[in-house]
Amino acid sequence: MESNRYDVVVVGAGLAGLTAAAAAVQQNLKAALVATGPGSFVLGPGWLTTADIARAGSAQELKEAIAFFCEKSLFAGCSLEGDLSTARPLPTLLGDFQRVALAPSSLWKAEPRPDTSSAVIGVRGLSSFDENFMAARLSECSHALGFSCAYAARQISLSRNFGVPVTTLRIATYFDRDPEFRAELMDALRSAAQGFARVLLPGMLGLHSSDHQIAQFEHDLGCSICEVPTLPPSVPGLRVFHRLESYLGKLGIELFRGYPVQSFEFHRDACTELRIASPGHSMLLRAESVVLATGRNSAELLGNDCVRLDEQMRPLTSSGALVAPNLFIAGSFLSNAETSRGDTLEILTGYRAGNLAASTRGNYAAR
Amino acid sequence: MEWTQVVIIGGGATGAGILWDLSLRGISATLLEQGDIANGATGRCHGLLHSGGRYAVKDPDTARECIAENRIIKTIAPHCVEDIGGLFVQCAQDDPAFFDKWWHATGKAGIPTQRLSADEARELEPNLGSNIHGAFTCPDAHVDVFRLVIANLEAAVARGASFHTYSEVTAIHTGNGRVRSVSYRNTRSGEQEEIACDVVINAAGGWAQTVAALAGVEVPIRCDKGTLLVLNHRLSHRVINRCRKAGDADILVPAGPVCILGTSSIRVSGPDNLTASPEEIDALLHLGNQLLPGLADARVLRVFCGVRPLYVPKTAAATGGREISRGFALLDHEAHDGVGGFVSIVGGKLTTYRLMAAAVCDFVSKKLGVDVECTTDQVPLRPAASRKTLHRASQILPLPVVEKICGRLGLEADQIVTAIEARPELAEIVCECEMVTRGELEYVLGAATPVPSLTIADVGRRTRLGFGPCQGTFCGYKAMLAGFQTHRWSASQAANEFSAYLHERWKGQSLVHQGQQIEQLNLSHDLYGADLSSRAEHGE
Amino acid sequence: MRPDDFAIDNCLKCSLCNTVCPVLGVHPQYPGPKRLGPELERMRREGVRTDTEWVEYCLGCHRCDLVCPSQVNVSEMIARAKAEHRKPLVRGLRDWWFARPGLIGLLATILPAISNFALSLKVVRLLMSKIMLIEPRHMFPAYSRPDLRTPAPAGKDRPRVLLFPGCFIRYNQPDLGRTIIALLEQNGFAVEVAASECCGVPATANGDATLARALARANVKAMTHQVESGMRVVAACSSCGHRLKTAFGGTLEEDKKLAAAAQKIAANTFDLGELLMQQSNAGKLNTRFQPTSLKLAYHAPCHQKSQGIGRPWYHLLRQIPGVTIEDLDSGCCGMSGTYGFKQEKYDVSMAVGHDLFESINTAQPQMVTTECATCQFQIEHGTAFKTIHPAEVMLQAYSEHRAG
Repeated sequence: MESNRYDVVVVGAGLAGLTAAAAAVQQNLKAALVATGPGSFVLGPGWLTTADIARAGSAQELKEAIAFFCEKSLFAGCSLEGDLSTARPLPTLLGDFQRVALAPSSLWKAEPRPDTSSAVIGVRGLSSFDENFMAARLSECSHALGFSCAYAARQISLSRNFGVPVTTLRIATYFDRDPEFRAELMDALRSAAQGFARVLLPGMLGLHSSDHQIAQFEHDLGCSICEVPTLPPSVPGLRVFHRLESYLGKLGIELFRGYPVQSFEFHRDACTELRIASPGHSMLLRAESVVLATGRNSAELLGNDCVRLDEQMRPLTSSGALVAPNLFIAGSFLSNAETSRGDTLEILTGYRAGNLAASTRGNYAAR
Repeated sequence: MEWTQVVIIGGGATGAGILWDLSLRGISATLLEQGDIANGATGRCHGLLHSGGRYAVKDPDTARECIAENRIIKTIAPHCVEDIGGLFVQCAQDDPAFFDKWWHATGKAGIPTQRLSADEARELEPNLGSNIHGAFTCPDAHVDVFRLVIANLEAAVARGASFHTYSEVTAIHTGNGRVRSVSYRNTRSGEQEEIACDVVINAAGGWAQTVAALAGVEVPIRCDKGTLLVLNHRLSHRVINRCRKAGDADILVPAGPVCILGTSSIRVSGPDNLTASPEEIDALLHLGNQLLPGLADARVLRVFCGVRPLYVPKTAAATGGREISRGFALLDHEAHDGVGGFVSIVGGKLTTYRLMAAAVCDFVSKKLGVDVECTTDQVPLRPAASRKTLHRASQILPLPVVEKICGRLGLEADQIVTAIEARPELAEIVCECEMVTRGELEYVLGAATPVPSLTIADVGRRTRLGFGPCQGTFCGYKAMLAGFQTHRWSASQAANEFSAYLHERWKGQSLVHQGQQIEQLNLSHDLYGADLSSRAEHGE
Repeated sequence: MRPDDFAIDNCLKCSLCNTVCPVLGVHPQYPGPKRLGPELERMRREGVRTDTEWVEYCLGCHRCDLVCPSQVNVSEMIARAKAEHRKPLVRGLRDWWFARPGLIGLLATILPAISNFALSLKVVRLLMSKIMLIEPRHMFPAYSRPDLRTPAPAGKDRPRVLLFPGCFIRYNQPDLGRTIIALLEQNGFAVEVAASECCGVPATANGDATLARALARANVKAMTHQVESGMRVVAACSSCGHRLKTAFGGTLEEDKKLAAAAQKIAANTFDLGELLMQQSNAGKLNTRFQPTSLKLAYHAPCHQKSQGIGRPWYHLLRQIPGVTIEDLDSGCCGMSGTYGFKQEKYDVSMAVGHDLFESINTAQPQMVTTECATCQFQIEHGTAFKTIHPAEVMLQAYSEHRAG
């Protein structure tokens, strides 16, 4: 039994790669995901905007792809919500609002709500977030947008010795691991949240927590909780990544973490082998089809002679030839990308490429 | 109306040096600078404290000036200087006859040097390549230009002088053939002010011509642009010079954790809106690679440009930028142009700033009938942090932070350490690349410092925050919050400050077209980019 | 310049390394890999003194390396910092010993029965804790006569492999070594036991770079001939395997000849599971398993993950009819070789392993299986479950080896 042969190998675990892998396994195929880390999604605010989709696909297709992705995230326990038609303004790092198409639920709920009393709650010692700054800015920026929302600022103190400095990362880690800490956090938040229907927290409610756990926490608090972005890495973004990765693993996708793909091998024009740059000697994987979703570096892996993609998302050389009939690109490709990061097109291209790869039946990897 | 004896226009090393010198002579003075300190050539150079080696062959007078000043500055401002020494490397590609000429010329100019074999040179600097014949040592050093200017300003303020940044001179009023007053505009608030004075000293460097025009006087300045690259980490311990006739990219100066490679020489029309082309940058890297093989693969953090403001009197022949003397000139506009009390000091270089200041102050004090000699060569600029303070710091701060405090701070270290002892959260390292603590950050943002920070970039110049690989993406945000928390800025002012800061930081990085800095910039754009454009939508 | 000189240039300060660091997750003051690695390295190049006790708290698990999007060799930078770190006398002396399990093994196995007896005495362990700051709650593994030898050839024309036993198998569990040999022979290999020294991981972990280099040199000399003749090296212990695959952690870079030899060894080293998985992929695995009923939980050691070979043992054991195996995937166990034995680090060690212990308790397997000896100690120390090396499971499953 050849355990290093896969129907689909996806390279890159950003949003595009995760979506492609999910699409492949959806079709009951044996899939592998090779990645060196979470992808750049977690280094941004943790949400997705929508670029000009006309360039890369139809509105219908985008809707389908997003619905697919959202369904998977829901099953994975890290649901995302969105509104492709009217993007929702969400608070940014600078206390302004940015129009967002899709975001983890906890971020999605932070839109301006004039009828809801909101408190921005910070943590004493958390130097990368200032609740007074955020509250003042959100108040004035929501006003500029035509909503008159008043945001109050509150601060909680946690007795846990977090060292210097307190970071959202540390808080999130304790949130995951320590029920006593969660209880203390709950108590502190309860006092601070008195009289408010909604609280806005810096993203810190766990790196691995599920929707259910956060909903439970929210229920115990007795008012709506939302998270706002902080300096990277994004805790809500990482949460989505961890849960999706874990979910894909449970669905049977083999995860190869930590080392990049160093080369592809072609047999009879098809890409049938990849080599992972593991220490000592490379690790060989055989593939029926390959989805490359490594972001702007994709081109380098293919020898830098790829200038565009065909309608089947396959890279073409400068002379117009297919690099391989079973090699597909998802996500950003080339520095003047049709997709940019933090964009719903990542999901669209991942979905499309994943499905195309899954339906490739050229029996390429047979020897 | 405010009144002072002397108004100095220009807050670079020369202007600050003049402010200090005048204060030592008991002459009241106010300095006006249109931007922040060291806005012009001073803040846009290598920070090389010349030994004079670069001038020995072509301009021995300048070389002698340099070595004398080199020693003086190391004595009066040791905390501003990294006395790392330098090498003049004999590359295989260069003219061997020049090496001997250099050796003799430096000897004659009194610059102490030693001859090293190629192996000996590589022993000292392992990154030198196999393409060298040998090297000469010399007492080059790196001077933190911002710290130097601050030291001069602080010392002057302690003796009663004053200065205003973000103050652009809009008019020089004359009457009866003499200067009467200077009008200036606060560029941040728009407020107009006027200050009456007896003397105006034009130390505006690249803008000397513009300033002189305000008094109806012509001062011909040629602006010669030099492009410099900041490399992410120190590739050498010492200053590395190429031992040849001055050319592009033949100096590498370690500056804190980074090193600076440069430079080029391109005529430009003025000191504003400078930029560098990809070809220019590639050329610098290519040449730098000859000096230190492998350098072309180093990560460039940012590209910046400065101008050498060269004084080109009408009588001088039209020659290339490097050919014009780097000596300085003192222009008495009373004698030349009939404007009494107006003096310009032009040309020169960073290393001889004190000498330039001395020349002007000698002249001006004589004119004012003040019979006091210059003592800036002896009076130390700023005492270093005390051992007791450093010991206290080592109890509460990690070792590299204490080392940096040692180098960076003077007596204010005591205040800062006291504050950190009282509030442990101030020990947080806000800029991790330069080990800047929150305590130091709050100090430079507060009212206690004689050289306050009005913008985040100002904070950077006083602490080196944002000078590392992240170029302010992470630490700049925290500095913004600190400015808000210390009530320097309101929430919306803080957000504006940060936008402006980011744009400035992005500019220098966007000129980098290869290497990891592109990814770093992408990260920054992803975090804040849409934010800033949406703010543009709101008309902010 | 060395390519390595530019490794710090890759760092984008994204802090992803911090998100996976097991120590940062449990210790409030631990600065984290981003600070201890690339940031302090950059300071060191400036000539700023950066020594800090915190480098001792790095587990050396390499998780930071694996998650870095820019391929910064964070743990290697921290290892360099460890080498320059000055320890107070007692810790320094203790760690001198901990850096040398080979030497300890040699001495302890002169009279293993006596050594074991002494090490088991509470009063001895209390003394060790008072004088040497060694954690008394941990039992030392029992030592055994070091009688693992190359067996008589199992057959003609078999592909030959060189078994790198590592200190644990050599001095504590030679029986496991014999199990591994039997397993390999069952799968058509002929095995030679290498005359190797300690792989050097404990030396590097304890800051002794000189020793690490010396061990690397000795190991290269002991194995080069066989590797040149076409033999593959098989490592039974993940840490040894990772070490060999990284050319002894890059300690021999200065010496070009030895560096080349070390690279050749690296290219020809296989984890035991990896080797058997390759056989399986080629259809050559001995699958004459007797059905059994065994509920296992598998813990992949950090140094197995850092080899980037997937999870071969998980897939191999699944092939045994009747075996159900769950991949715990619950982080680092916290032991990290000698780390958990250090009194001042014991609490961190146990806190790091907490999640894994909980997963095991939830999974309620019959046994936990893991290929790293010190992971085994930690799991047996932190839970009530017994652990077993996957090679034992597999060998026992062969009909020929059925016990009773």
